Amino acid sequence: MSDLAAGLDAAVAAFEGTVEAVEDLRQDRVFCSDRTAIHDFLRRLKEDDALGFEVLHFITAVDNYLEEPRFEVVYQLRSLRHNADLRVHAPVPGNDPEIASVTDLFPAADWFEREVWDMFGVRFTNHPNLERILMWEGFLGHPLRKDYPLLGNTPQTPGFHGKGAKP
Amino acid sequence: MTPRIDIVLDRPEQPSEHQVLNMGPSHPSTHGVLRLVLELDGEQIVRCTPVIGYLHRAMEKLAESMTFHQFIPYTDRLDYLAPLANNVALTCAQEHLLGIEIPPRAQAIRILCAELSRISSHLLGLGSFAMDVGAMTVFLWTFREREKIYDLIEHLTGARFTTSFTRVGGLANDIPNGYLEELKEFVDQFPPRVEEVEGLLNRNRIWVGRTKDLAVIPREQALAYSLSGPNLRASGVEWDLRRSRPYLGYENYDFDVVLGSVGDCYDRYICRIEEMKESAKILRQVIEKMPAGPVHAADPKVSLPEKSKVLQGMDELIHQFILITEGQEAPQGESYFACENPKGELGFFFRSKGGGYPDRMFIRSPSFANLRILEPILKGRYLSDVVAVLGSIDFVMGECDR
Repeated sequence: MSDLAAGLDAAVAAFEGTVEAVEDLRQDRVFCSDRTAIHDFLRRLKEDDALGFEVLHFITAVDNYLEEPRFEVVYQLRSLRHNADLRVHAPVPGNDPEIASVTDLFPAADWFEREVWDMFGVRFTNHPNLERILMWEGFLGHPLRKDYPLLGNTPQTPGFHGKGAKP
Repeated sequence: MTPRIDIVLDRPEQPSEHQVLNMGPSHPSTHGVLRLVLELDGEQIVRCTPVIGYLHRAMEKLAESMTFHQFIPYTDRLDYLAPLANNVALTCAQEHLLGIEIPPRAQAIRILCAELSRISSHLLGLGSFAMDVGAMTVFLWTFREREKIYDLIEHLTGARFTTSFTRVGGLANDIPNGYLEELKEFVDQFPPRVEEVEGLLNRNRIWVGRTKDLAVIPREQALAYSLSGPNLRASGVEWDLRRSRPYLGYENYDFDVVLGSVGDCYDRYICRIEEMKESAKILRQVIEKMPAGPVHAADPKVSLPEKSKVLQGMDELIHQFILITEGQEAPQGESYFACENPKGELGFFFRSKGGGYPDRMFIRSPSFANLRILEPILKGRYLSDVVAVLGSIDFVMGECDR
């Protein structure tokens, strides 16, 4: 485990100023990364021989409504070699919700990024096919945002808002 | 590429002899509401675009306005072929967030629940897999066994499908009197029944011909697409949370992690067969070792008091009232915990701002991740292979769409 800790320290040191380790409630390994560095940092975690975080377990997001930066994109990675998980948070501002896609590093990211776009409206640049995945095309709004109403009577059925409606 | 058929047809670079075939969302072999848009060159698949979301019920949004207990019934509807295992996974994740331990008897009963559901889910997966490929008898035989499991589950929880059996810090009830004998009867007669199924399929020429070397998922691809469960292990990756990161005391049970060698449909079938036998082995040990004691954590701020005491004691009444109306007080912060479910790793990511409600709950469902691999593995295969591949991936749309 110690070479894992050393490797992680080296990786964080290489990204000084953009990536830092974060204290966690349940002692998971958690890092906070600037959104500009996320692609390079995940590539380092994946390709560094001492680390080998080759599995992208999931991507999701959190909406810190009324706070800035409003969104956090959360990446959970796994290294089978070390039997270790780590989590990377990337804060994304609410007025410009955009972050680099990691589909070129991890094919599994495809659907998870589409889901985050669908549910939170965070755009992933360079994603090959950033379409809605759980909601239908033409749906208005992003349901998991905290300001999306829980109750209401707008019938958002397919075609209701017309083709190609974008929020 | 958008999945809409009209757009697929509109693409100018597409030669006119390619045909677009829509499969689903209510096709018998998609076991639910998966839709595949297949672009065909003759009978060969040029491109397969899975379309999901038909069963989306906004569970993650609903969870944000619910206490931890209130969400338990919703997990029955995640992987609805193994509701008990989902109950266990959710409460384990909640307990991880709250930082509490449950007593050994509750752990053993939860393992019992998880393994019973694993057998039941694999039986259905195999039965419908075989039926889609044309072997009707297997389906009937596996369903006969599932019926016995449902009787056991009904006796344990009072419901066959919507079990909602676990509670934060423990279980709804202790096991009923004489239950372990009943379970033992089932476990004893179960391995020969599995062998009957194996006798029908293992060297069956049609079955082998339709599954061997089909949709091979090499190790690297399985990891790149974040597969989990039997689909991952069939590709030869030794990864089982019960072994790699034991929870609920799985380290005290003797079982093997079943691995495949090639990663084709046949390997995935064999993995499920062998996993059922391992589950039966674990169940037998659970019966032997069942510890005595309470099935609730002792912390009254977390686990519900005994119902009989609520009606007599002041403290218990207050605790019951607070727990039901306000929920368990969660610490601020986040946590992620996953369990090895029949279909793969079912994980729950919690972000809490304190109080009895999660600020955000993300469900990492195995079927969602597993289905992404359909597109690469179906490319270049034939139309008749689709049902075999779908059967071998063994997904549930309730869990995929959440």
